[in-house]
Amino acid sequence: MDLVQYILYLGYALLIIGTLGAILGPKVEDPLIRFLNVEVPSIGVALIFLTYDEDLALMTFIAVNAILSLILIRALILKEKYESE
Amino acid sequence: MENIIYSLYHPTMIIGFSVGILSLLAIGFQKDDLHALILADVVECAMLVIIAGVGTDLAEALILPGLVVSLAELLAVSEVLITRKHIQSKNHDSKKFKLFEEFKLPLHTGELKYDIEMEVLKTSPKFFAIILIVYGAILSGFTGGAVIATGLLFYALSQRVLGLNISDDVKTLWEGMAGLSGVAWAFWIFGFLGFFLFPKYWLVCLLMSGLGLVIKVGSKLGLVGYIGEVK
Repeated sequence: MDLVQYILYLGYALLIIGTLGAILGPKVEDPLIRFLNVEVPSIGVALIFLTYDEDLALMTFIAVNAILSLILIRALILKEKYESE
Repeated sequence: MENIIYSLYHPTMIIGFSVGILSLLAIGFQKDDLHALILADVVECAMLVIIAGVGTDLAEALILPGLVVSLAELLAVSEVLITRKHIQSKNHDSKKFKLFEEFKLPLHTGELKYDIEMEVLKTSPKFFAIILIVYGAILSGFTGGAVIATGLLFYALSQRVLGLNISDDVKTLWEGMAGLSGVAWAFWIFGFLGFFLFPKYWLVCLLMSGLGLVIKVGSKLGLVGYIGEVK
């Protein structure tokens, strides 16, 4: 088997396990833990991009993911703040 | 010349569709809005895998706008959720935050005991922004636009974190660039058409579409930093 295939199957495994973890995983009623579980399938997507030789898409995906996590954490914090008032 | 990538099309499609269906089902059974928003991120992953499975350059060119659109969409939906929570909360006078304002340095909120004014906090954002904008202008095309937008965003957000206002000159320049983006879009389309209609003048068409795209992407993405500054 090629090295490319190992990377691809690792990406598949991370994608499936991460999705199941985000949907059914332990203690996902806490939105922060659900958000952290979503990071696992995004690493899987990055590995699949790497396999298909889409380097520009991979770099943009990583940059967008960083901004996205800031936005979601902000939504989490402000929701807690307004609900407690 | 049998490429190994061609044999991997079917498993990628099966994985992508199964992840998409699973996460859409999970959104369907979800009661809480914030959980649904987080799960929408997983649907986006499935969408990206399905497009990436095609494995051509055109698929890559489709992924890039998909990423930017999904970022804008999640930003808008999270703003709507936050505003709704703010209206529902009993205390209507509580402070409403601008985007990324909650990451303000303690120095300017008065929580820090000593008044530390460091010159580097004011000068380094400008330095980084100028380097990124010049480098993006040299790169041109979509990548250059993304680099320029990163520079503009970095400048705007660091000014907000420091508690300073963006000067009026910069704001006017910014608005002018955003107004130019319609013209830039036309440049891009005509340059792209020129490849097929006048193949002899390919260099002119290449420069035209590269210039159009860099202005378009840079000004549009940089607008995110401009939110909340308009009176």
